[in-house]
Amino acid sequence: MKHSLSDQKPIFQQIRERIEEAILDGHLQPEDRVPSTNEFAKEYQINPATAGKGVNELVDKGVIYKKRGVGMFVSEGAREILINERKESFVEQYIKPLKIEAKRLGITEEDLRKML
Amino acid sequence: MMNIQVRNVTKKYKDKVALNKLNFTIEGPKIVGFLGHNGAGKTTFLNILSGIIPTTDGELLVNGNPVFNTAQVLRDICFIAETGNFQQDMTVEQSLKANRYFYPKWDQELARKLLKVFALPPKSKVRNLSKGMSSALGIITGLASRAPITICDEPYIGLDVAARSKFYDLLIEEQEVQPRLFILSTHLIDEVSNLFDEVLILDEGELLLQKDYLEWDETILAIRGSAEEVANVAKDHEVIYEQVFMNEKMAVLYLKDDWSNNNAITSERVSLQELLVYLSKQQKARYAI
Repeated sequence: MKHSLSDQKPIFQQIRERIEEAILDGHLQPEDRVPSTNEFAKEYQINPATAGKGVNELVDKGVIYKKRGVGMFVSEGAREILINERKESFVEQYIKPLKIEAKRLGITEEDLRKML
Repeated sequence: MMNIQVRNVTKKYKDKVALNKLNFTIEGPKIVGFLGHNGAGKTTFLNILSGIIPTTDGELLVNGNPVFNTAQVLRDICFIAETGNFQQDMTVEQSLKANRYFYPKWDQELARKLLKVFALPPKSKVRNLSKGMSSALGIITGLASRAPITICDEPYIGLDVAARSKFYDLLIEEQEVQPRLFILSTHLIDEVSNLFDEVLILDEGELLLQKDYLEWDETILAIRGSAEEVANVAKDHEVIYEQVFMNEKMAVLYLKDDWSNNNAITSERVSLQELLVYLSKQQKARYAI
């Protein structure tokens, strides 16, 4: 996992993505504890409220859940939620740029298929 | 209570206007980035806030009381200036111990711990400290003061990257243990900006922008595209800066309306550091909350 944060993207978004990728890659399993916002703040030297903003988006999506007074944990269906969500943005994020660059270079769709 | 009210504060030095009718309120606990170019008036303002100099006009209230010449207010404020904070003849140890008389909440235990963290020699005379060491002594004083309003003007001049990193860790820890209003004035902002709760930008003695930093990315945005496309999107917002390069127009926007992602135009994040550069290139409007 890359450690330092970039300033090209909002920090809260990067925190959210780090957690998402930890879940997708299996480092965080269902019912595993997710670090607290203060732990994120210390780890990345960021404002705890910023970390909280990223974490809360995942709570809203049902990817993680809060247990009062105990902490935050990965939900049972977290991985499936994230996979479905990322599949939806896959075309937008990866296929479209690929097609744009292919067009720029005059690569036909057939050539592209062969490459894949 | 950590409440600072700035009402029409003006400061003139002979004919030169250092601060021009400043109006804003800061409420803690939080970490505030107090920013601006050299000569923007930051240090003048901090000197007024710390009760060191009076205003020419207007008033500055801390928790409802005027700050100048008001002892009971000043005990709640610890101001670490860029230089000249300590008696040159004292040792580091003596200098720290003397603070218990100024700050009712002074934590000598914390001061002792921080001396070790920053590896400062307690018996060393202040005058013999390097630039970085004397910055570290300032940071230790500010943190151990536990003053409800702790102000640091360029706190880490001369500190190496490891010591700066320790400072950020300590700030986060302090806010967890005993939250207070930290005001950090600095022009080295790329590293520390992620810690801010709020930013204020001063320019030529005036308030250019005051913003909840959590809302930064929903407020400041750069867009790119053809001149028409950019103009079309920009008309609903305020343009902070614009330029054309290789037939591509770029505009930095202060968003007035909700930003919808349906816009068929490339948008990108503008860091605080970048915004300061753009502002220095083109200054028109003034932005407050």
